Order: sequence, then structure tokens, then C-alpha cells
Amino acid sequence: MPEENRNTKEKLICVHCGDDCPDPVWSGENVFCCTGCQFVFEVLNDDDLKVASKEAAAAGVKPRALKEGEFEFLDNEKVLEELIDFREENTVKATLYTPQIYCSACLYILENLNRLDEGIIESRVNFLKKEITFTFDNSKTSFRKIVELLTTIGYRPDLNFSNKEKPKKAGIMKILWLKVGISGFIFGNVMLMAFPDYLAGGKVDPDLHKFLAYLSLVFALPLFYTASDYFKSAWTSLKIRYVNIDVPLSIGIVTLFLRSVWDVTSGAGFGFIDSMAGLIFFLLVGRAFQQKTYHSLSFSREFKSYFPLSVIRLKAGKTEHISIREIEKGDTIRIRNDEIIPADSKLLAESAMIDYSFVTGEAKPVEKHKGDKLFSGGKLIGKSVEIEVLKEFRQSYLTELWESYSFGKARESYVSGISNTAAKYFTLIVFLIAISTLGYWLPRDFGIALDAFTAVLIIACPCAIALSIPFTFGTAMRMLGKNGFFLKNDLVVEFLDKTDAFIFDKTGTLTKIGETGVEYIGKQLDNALKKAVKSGVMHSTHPLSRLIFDYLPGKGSECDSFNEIPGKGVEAIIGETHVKIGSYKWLKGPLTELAGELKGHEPDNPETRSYISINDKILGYFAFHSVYREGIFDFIKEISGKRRVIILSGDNASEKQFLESKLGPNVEMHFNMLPDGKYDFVKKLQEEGKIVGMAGDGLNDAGALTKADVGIAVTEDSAHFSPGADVIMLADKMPRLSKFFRLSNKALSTVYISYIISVVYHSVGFAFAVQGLLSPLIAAILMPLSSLTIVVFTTTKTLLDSKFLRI
Amino acid sequence: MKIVIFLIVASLTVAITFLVAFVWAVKNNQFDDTVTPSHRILFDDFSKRKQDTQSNKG
Repeated sequence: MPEENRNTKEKLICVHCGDDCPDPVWSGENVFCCTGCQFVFEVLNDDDLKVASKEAAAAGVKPRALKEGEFEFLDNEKVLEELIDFREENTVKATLYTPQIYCSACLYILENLNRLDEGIIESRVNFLKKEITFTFDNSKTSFRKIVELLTTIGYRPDLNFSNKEKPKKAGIMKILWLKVGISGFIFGNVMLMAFPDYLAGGKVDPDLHKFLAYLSLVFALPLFYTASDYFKSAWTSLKIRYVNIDVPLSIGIVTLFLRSVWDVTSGAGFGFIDSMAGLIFFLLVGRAFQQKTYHSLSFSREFKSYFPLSVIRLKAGKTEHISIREIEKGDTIRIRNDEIIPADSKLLAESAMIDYSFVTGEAKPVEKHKGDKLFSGGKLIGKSVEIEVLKEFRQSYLTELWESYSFGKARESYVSGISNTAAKYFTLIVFLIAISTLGYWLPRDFGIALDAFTAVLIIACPCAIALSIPFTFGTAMRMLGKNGFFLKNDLVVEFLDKTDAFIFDKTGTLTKIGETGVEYIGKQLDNALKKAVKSGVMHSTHPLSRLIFDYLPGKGSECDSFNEIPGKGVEAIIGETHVKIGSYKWLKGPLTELAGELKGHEPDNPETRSYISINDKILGYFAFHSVYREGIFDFIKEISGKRRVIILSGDNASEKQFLESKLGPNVEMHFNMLPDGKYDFVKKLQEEGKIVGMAGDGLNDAGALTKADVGIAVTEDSAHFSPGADVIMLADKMPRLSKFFRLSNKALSTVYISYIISVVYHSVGFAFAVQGLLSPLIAAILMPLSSLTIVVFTTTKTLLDSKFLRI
Repeated sequence: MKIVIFLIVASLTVAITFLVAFVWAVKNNQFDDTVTPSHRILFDDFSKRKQDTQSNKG
């Protein structure tokens, strides 16, 4: 039964928690969304988790794959130090990132870990960050034991160097919440204090009036703390002779306060403290809305998170685990299948296949031979090999490559183009109005002149303008985030559609990582020959052999003789048939014939091919090509109408013709690009005045992504390495990128419309102000009303836009 | 009319108490993780559940 269920595409519902199961875990006939649910479900009727887990083990609940000795390296003190937060004698505290945390059941089991291991004193889960923090007694258990326990129950922690990086943003948010709370409190109270004056129209008891007026002045003082960021920003921008939006804002706030002090102390009125508090409150709410943090994402994950924590060193015939920082020149280390080469080294084994796709963008693994130099960052494919270290980890190629990029982007925060252009003109106009008002009234009436002048500055306070960007972009950012397109910061929305040059990486961005298409060209093979070829590649560990094996139907049979020649190919004899599969050069001998179908197929094409020959006759070849993401070509064509689109690939030009046929002449293509070349390309475009967007996935794109105005890191899963990116995008959302561009465009027009609305409000205000007629009541109505209008308009319009675009 | 001033002072005292409570809560990291506690509350403590089942049996 369950076998059938597994194949059907109907929605799977977790037996325990009722959630959908995107990644189902099966146990008999029951399906669970995660191992946590499975575990809790199985122990739910038991009192004690410990008994239950033993029973579960006895009943054959399959523990998650834990390779023997896999976590042995955690016994190494140096490695341990990288991972734990703090230690005091035997009490150790550590935080682990466990991406499998999925529902409440996970929380339940992980927070009750001490039932499974007595040495654990306490464990706490942070659901959003998918982190588990635990304190344990080192004399009763060990870090390794806990990690092994977690792995066994299905929560394999992600162990790497960047675990300890702590986001600073949390602290900023905390202060912001404090400020919002305090200014909201003041806003509410001062507004109530102003009500008697507004409602009774000056007939308030003079003592009460005086008491309330002075009280509201006292309440205004903390507002200078809550608005301090605006003053600071205005001051910094003035210092470099520049006017940003915070300049008129700060002038407005200060004028509001000084005018209120004057009004209250001279007994002229109640002052504008309620407007001032409301203004600051709304601004801070806007700022809080702007900050959307994706807790489980890190936008500048370091390259180190890509490396393993430790390696196996062979010394005097013994193996030991050492931290990769301890690797020294001349060490012999062992690298296993799928492991990364941590430092530049020399290959000691006969041959090895190294996959450099992440570092260089080359799609296919490269074959290396004994004595060849291996650069750090390559991934070993196939059986384990021994290598001799030539350079320490810190001086290796990858480390140096990264260090040269780390200063790439000086810009920490975006300067929003539109809001500052608006601010510049707005401030200019306001000062013209203010000065001419002063000029008009001064010869006539000094009192009115002062009133009118300050009133203009108060009304000029561009609160609505300052709110339109946070609410428009903030909403857009949330809508994009729901669709697997995570922005580092809301101002990226503005730049997204403004890019007039867009660069794509090929390997891993346009193509799917880990998928290769195989095509056979040449004389048709009958079933017997297919079987012979399949048998020939059956025992080879070469990646291309594996691909051919998977491509051919049926089953292989045992060969009578089999020989694999590194760098050339494989040779097998099955009965009467002598099969050779490999490079053209190797197959071609004086006696070989070429099948008629192959005439005209030049063997020097850069495309990777594996030729087959049967009994010294070359029949045809297998061609390998990348598999492109669905819908990717339509999307590129769509965006290339408006901007320059360039493909920069670290791979060879073998797919140039294919790409040209799909994309037409509008798309530029450059191949064999080194990481530096990509970086320089972006730089050159920027020097030409272009706003450059780039989508890439590998370390070879890291520099260019950092340099680009909008760097989009494409990733299969969001926990992956993402170098200095502005956006993290889930790879399968790639074809939807054009919709995201359109939303960015719509968001910009929303901002412009909201500017027009706020200008209308300001004009009404100026009409009162220049005549010296601005009463606190009018200000108290006009200012919050304009802010609210903008907030409601921008949020609603952006939500409707994204609905309309079907985002 | 003087009684109004007294009332205002009294109500402000109450309001400020709550403001202080809010500031304390923020500084005490209570707003750092708003999701996990909402899941945590769904489960009884182990020890408590054990007692419950025992008392049910008894």
C-alpha cells in the first residue's frame, strides 16, 4: 500500500500534525512531515521517551544514516572550539543549526533531549532560525555524542565554521521596538492632553490648561531620543553638503518643538507636541515595517562554510582528525568521495575526478593525474584519494580569492535614488516658500511673520514622503519573500527594475546542477550492443561512465575482461565483442574504421564526447550537455528587450551554438571567464554608467555578485553559501524573475503617485501656513491624515499589483 | 476642577508603569523570538504528564 502512495502525486498529510509533507518520512503505512513527528507519534502513548526510544530501536525504526566514525573529528579540541559558544569547567554551551526543524513535534523532541542523554542540562529551540541551543555536562556526555544523537533521531546538524557568526540586526530591531513603543506612548498621552483645548475652544480652566501644556512639553523630551536617528542622518548628510530626506524632517521636528515651547511659555496656546509625537511615531512604525529579516538566511555567508571542519591526516601510518586550520605544508591528507579539497595540494593517487563547478563554473568534472596540482575548493568524485598539501589553508587559492573580494562592496546601505531626489527639490521649494512668507509679513506684522514662517517649516515636514518608500517597498519585499525571492533590504526593490545590464552565470544558474543530458549520435545500436556498452561502463567509476550507464536501458552483464585506463577510457571483452569507450584519440588506431553516420562530425568540437568502438569500428559517440532550467529562455528573451543581457560562463564554449539558437542575437556571451574577468566585466559596465544586475551561484561569481548593484545568489536550498548577495533566490523561481522585475516597476510608480498625493496635502497645509493661520488643531488633523493616506494607499496598491501579476 | 489634575497624575502613573514594563520586556529579549513559544505551549512538561497519567491510573 505505502509503495503505491509513494508514487501518486496526491497531497500527503502528516499523520501526527496534519501539515503537508513536502519531504515525507515513511514509517510502515504512516506518513510524517518530519522525523520529529514520526518519533513523537510513536512514543505518544508512552510515559517516558527513553523507554520509547529503546523500543523504537528494537522495533527497527530505522535510525538516520550515521556513518561509522563520521563525527570522530568532534573529539578534536581545536575543532570543538570553533563550534561551542562558551565553556566553564564541565558546563558547555553550544548552538547548532539543524535545518530539519519543521513543526512543533521537532520542538518537543529537541527540547526534551535530556530524556535521551542525561548529560544534557537544557536544550532550547529557536524555530525561526532553526537553531538548537543546549547546555551539557562535559563529564557525562560529549559534544560528539550529542551530535550523533541528533543525527540518529533525524536532525543532522549543519556543522561549519560560520556557525558562530552572530547577526547584529537583532540589537537594532530591539532598539527600534523600544523607540516605537515610547513614541507611541507619548503620542497617545499628549493627544489626550490636547483634547480639552481642541474641544472646549479655549474655555478650559486656565490652571488645568497650563498644567497640561507644561506636562506635554515634558513628555516631548524623550521624543528627541526616539528621533535621534533622523537627526544623526541629517547631520551626516549636511556635513558632506548633501540634502537627504532627513534634513527637512529634522528641521520640521525641531521647529515643532521650539514653536511649542514658545507658545506654551508665552501663554499663547497649547503648542504642537501632539503633531510632533504623531509624526515621529509614524516614521518609526514605517522604519519597523521596512525591516524584514529572514532569520534562517544569511546574506553574506562566508566561503568557509563551504569547507569541512576537519580532515583526516595520515601521519606515521596512523590516521587522525585535525581541524583544517591545523593543516601544514607537507601533510598527507585523505579526501573521501564528495569532500572538498581544503588546501592547494598535489595528487598522490594515480588519478582522480575533481568537480570544480562551484569554484570555476566548469560544468564537467576534470580528470587529474598523479603529481597534478589540485586547487582548493574542488570536490572529489569517486573513491578516496591521498593528497600532499602544498600550501596552508590560509594561503590557498580559494582563501586568497575570497579575501580579494571581501572589500568589494563598500556600500553597506543603499541610498534610495528617488527619495533623495524628491527630498532635494522639496527642501528647495519649502525654503523658497518660507523665505518669501517671511519677506511678505516682516514689514507688516512681526508676530504673524514668525508664526507663518515656523508654520511653513512645520507643514513642510515630509512625513508622507518619508513613509511611502518603507511601506511600498516593505510590502513588495514581503510578497517577493513569500515566493522564494529574499531581499536583503527593501531598497533593492527600487534597483531591480532599474538595472540596464543583466548578467547571468551559466553553470548552476541557467543550468541545473548535478544533471547532465546524454545524447547518442552515430550508427543505431541494437539491443545486444547496448547491453555490451552498458556492461563495459558498469564497473567504471568515471562520472561520464555513470551517465552512460544510466542513459542506456536494460541491465549490464559481467565482462570477461575489463580494463580502465585513466585519462583515456575503458575497455571490455564480453564474449566475442570487444568494446572500447573513451576519447577519439585513444580509439583511433591504424586499423579502426569509422561508421558512415559519423562522416562530417568533427571530433575536435569542444563538446565533451565519449566515442564507442566495437571490434575496432567506431560506431558513434555520446554527447553530454547541460540541462537548462524550464522556461529560462523565454524569460531571458523577455527581459532582454529592455536591457543588455550578457551570459558570462567559466565553462568552455561548447554550448555557445545551442544558446545562440535559443536566445537569438540580442544576448552577448563570453566563455572561459575567470572569476577576476567576471568582476572586471561588472566594473567596466558600471564605469559606463550602467546599473548592473547579476545572477550567479558559485564562488567564481562571488566577486562579480558583490560588485554588481543587484547581486542575486541562486541557490537550491536557502542554507547554502551565498556570497555578499543582495538577493537570495531559490533556483526553481528563476523563470519568475521577470514577474519580480515587473513588480519592482509597479512599486516605483506607486511611490511616484504617493508623492503626488502628499504634495496635494502639503499644498493645503501651505495655504493655511503662509497666512499665519495654522492652528495646532489643523496640524493635528492634517499631518496624521496625510501619513495614514499614504500608508493605506501604498500598501493596498502593492498588494493589488502583486495579486494582479499573480506573484 | 482640581480633582481632574489629580486624576491625570494618577492615570499617568498607571500608564508609565506599563511603559516601564514594556521597556523591560524588550530589554529582556521577550520580542526576539515570537514563534517558538507559541509552539512550546502546546506541550505539557514531561514530568507533569507523567504525574497525570499516574494519577489517572490510580
